[in-house]
Amino acid sequence: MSSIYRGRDRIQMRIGMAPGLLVYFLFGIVPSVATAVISLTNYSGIPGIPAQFIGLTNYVQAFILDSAGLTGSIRDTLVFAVSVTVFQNLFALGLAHLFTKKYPGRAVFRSLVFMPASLGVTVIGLTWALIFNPSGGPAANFLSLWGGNSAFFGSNSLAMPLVIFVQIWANLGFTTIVYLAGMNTVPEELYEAAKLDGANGWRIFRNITFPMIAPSTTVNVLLAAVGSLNTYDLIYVLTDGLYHTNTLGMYMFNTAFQGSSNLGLAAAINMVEFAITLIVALVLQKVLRKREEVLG
Amino acid sequence: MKSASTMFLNRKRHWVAFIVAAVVALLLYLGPLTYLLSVALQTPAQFLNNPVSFPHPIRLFNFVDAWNQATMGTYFFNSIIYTFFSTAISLLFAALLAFPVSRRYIRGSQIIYTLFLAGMFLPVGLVPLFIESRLLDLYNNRLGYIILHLQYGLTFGFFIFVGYFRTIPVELDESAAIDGCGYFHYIWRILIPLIRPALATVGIYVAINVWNDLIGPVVFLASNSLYPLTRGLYTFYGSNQSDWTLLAAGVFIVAAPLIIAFVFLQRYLIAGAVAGSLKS
Amino acid sequence: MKKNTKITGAIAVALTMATGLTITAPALASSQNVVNLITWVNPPAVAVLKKINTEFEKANPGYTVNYQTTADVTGGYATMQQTAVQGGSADIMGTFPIQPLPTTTNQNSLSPTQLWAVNNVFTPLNGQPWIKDFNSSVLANDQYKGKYYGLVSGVYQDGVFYNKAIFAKYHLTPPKTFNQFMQIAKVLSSHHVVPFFDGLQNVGPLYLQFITYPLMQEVWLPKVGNINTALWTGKTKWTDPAFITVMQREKEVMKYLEPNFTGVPWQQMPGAFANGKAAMLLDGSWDLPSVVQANPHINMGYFPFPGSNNPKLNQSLLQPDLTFVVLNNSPHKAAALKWLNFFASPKIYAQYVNATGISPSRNVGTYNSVSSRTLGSWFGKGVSLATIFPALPGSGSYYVQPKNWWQLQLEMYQGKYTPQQVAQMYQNAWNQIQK
Repeated sequence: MSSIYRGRDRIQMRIGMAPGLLVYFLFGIVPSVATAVISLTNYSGIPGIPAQFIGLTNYVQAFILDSAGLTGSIRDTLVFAVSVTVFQNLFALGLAHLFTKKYPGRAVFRSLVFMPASLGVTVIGLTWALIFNPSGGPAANFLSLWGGNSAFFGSNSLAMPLVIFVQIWANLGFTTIVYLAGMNTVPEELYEAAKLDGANGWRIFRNITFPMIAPSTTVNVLLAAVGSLNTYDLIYVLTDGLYHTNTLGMYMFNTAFQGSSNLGLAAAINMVEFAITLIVALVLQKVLRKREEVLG
Repeated sequence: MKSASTMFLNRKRHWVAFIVAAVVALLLYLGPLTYLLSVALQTPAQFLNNPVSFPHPIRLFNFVDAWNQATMGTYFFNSIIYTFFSTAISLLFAALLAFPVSRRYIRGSQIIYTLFLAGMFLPVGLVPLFIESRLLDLYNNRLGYIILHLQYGLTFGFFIFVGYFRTIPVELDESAAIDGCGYFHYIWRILIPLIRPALATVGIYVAINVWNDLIGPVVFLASNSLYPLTRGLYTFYGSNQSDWTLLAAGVFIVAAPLIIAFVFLQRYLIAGAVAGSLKS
Repeated sequence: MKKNTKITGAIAVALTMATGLTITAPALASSQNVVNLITWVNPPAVAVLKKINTEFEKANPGYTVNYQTTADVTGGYATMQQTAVQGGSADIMGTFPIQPLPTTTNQNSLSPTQLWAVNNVFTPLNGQPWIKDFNSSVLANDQYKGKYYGLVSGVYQDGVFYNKAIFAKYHLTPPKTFNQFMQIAKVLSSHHVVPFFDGLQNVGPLYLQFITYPLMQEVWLPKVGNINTALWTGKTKWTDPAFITVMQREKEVMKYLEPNFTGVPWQQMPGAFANGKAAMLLDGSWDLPSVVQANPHINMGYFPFPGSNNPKLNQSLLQPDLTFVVLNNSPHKAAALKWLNFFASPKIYAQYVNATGISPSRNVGTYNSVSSRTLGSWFGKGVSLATIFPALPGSGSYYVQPKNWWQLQLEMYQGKYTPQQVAQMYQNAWNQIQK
């Protein structure tokens, strides 16, 4: 294709593109490909010890010898990702539906729910750790009114649900806004026609709103699923992967950076995480897009 | 008649739902921050014996103490530097790359676009990035930290800008070229102002992402004097035995500017969320 | 022309400003008279090391010490160490001692610190002037093939710290045997007093060590001698009945911990004990200054954890602590050795011991600290951890990786596995790394 830019302008154009391409190559492509390569070595990060190519040994270690660790981690990852994806979307749908109605103070509440988007995992994590402090925190006080008590983030049964709760708490606003945007594009005439037919609220939502916002659903489900399969920064602050919250990302991070010297094994765990994310993303994308086509 | 009464019932039910949602939202979203502030104002003795009560006496000194003990000034400075430079540079790079690609002014435009798209499915290689950071001397220094944070803004900005540039007519390029306007000048003076709304939205998302990154400073920084707020606060948490009042003050110091920023910037955040959803 | 220079100018300005930032960064100055020191955070140690650094700078004009610390031993600090070793961001690094190494050394059987020692990451310190002044059996904790790799700054002592007021109120005296110990716990909990305090959140089940280690020392060690070497040579196994007893007794003790101890942050331990939330604190003596800081009026005593019913076997447990090693890739080796020598000098070292409450590893000296007063005749005396517990490898088989080893102990307490099953899982993992 011919361009209007020639000579010096064309050189400038290429110069302008160079830094972006370089950054993308160095910090996007190289690390991604290198993960696969490093997963086949026993790279320890110890100066003076060269990395050796050891084939699939790390995968054998992860899948067979340490299968307890990996299967536990995969289970934690799936529990976390499925719960976050399902509940975040359900709650957001309900909230968005409410926000379409003109109630007083609606904007304030919308802002409140959206606010954690700016807070970041450190503030969010430490705040909730304070609230769920088992000795004297408000959650413990609340439970004790009914004679109950719990170790919260130190509990095998409750740590995961709480981590899921905090993750949803942090991202609910974004998901809600996306649904709300979708709902606002549904033509008013559709609702009016339905009302004339005598349809009630739930049927209107089921038959008109929900199908019409299919593109928003696709975005939200994909973002929540892929995001929750890969995230671990919040878990790092809240439990450090203990008490059955050891998602694959957390497992990888702990293997690579917390006391272990086996960066190769960490890369292998990362590859497992990547494979699961890829499969889930492709399947979801296919299913959701198909649904959009049928509905659209 | 009948439809009017069901509508009334619906109305009523909606009101109940709304009030329930409002109370829950207040409790869950305002509650934690209120409690945080309350603990931050307590004395250690009160916190130990009765943390869930109104602070009495009110102890403002916790904030001063937390600010000094945690060297918050340094952390704030670092966060501002990291966020400003990595956002500005990455978006500039993104715009310079997105323009020729969106216009297909260059051979291989489609390949570049596909490559970026494929990148979204590739694993985030934290382990190799860590190794790279040391090989390229980006480990534990400010410039390196900024460079290591260009990637996110570059990809995010690239996709948004490619779309945005398409809404600008090609005739504008041509008439500017005929007027003898140089390439860089055209981008800087004409195009960048035109994409300002997109720039603001993307910029705010990128900035929040960099500002709030915790894993990055844990892996790529080792010196206390280079830590941004996130890592600084986390370190402070690990080092303060049993002093939750001080820690709460520290968390609040970090949270307050984020909340204020949110109030002013939320329309951009909402615009970004909406843009993202409609795009697909 | 002019127009174009503007934008290139803007980029140039941005880049130079960013570059300028690296120059202002104080870390890693290239001068020879710099010591980059890193340790994990133990507040009293951090405070006194800062003071010692200032005195070092005063005594050696032209020298500067950059001191960096990070959160806890299990988390952030491991990252900092890893990056210091690889990136050369430190000259002197705080470590735990390498402990006697296993007979067969392969990458799977060594902890990261041991791997670093074996692979010459540390500078041998033989011949340094301070070596002769230090307790050779303590320094032996950081020795490999005849070379000393670290200055072991002292030992902390595990055991039971008790609130004398609470003991007096219920007419209790320090127990001598395990049965007496459990009897006391029973009496206290019948009066709704929490017998033991130990916080597991953030460090995770690792802090069960205050129960597990002494029990191993008092129940298992007398039977097989040095457990560490016995495990490596195969003279004993994790499935040894003595270790089963250890775990059974551990379960009994844990019944009397504060409720929800798995969710209580370790940071809360000294404060809670100091304010009477429990009668006894299961901890190491490093926390004593924090206890006194939280309540200066507390009247506390100490006794070794009575794991055995034979009073003679119940000894204080010594944990070699903060050990300074000099990194081989350090560009400031001479300055680093100078710092170590300064640290080891009698007056400076006494400051360190008195401020931290650590028990001294230096042969001669008189000290007055919270620990020396609280530990009384036990101060500096007891059995070294290195003979009790092997340094677990960081990589290698799952159940002998430190985090998972302790996690399994907790799951045993919670009833997911029996002590016998847990012992078998350890042994299987152990067999794997010995190959």
